[in-house]
Amino acid sequence: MSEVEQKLAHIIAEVVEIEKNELLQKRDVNFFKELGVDSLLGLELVAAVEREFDIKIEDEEITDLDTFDAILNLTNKKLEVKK
Amino acid sequence: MLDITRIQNLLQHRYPFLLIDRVLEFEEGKRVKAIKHVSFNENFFQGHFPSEPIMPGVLIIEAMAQASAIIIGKEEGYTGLLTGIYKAEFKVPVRPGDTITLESEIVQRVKNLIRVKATATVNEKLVTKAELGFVVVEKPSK
Repeated sequence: MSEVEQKLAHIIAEVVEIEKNELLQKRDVNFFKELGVDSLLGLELVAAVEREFDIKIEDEEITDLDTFDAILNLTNKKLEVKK
Repeated sequence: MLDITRIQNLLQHRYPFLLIDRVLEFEEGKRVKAIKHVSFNENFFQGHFPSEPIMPGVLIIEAMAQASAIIIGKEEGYTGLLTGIYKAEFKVPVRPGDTITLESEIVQRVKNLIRVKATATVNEKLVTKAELGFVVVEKPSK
């Protein structure tokens, strides 16, 4: 697992309040429908990711961020652009 | 500069819970600087504490939140609600006779979720600092 993946799993698990291992087993599970994340917590999640990786996620990009994998892919993309 | 009348046009807070007295500077959506004079005559000093009047830290946080509300989502019909208090530190007790200078700066915005970094100083000495989270929502209709 990459460092980005590790860090991301850690902060998302903390924000969503589930075990990191459980999150990694549910990487393609919809946060909102199945992990008890409401719209406010969804924004908190995005904010935490922005702060952790010092990236900016645009409003339009947020709608598609509904699984761990989706956030991981976008984060990797943003970090790639930063290099 | 905003006096208490203009502050009351912007904030819904009222006695005994309006904890800023004057806004010295503000840039909408960016930063604000306000003051609060601390008087022995305030209701909370009766109980906190009878032996030694100290302004409760959480009320300093509340004053910071109210100062922040001046620069957050002032669209007609919308209001800001506190969602979190992070990294709060209370460095020096605040006592009757102090004037608190409250400064707050928006550091992050994700849709309608806003995060500020705020400080409270007395005679330019840092007494409290914290990061606060807010969500901008529609005001409840009466």
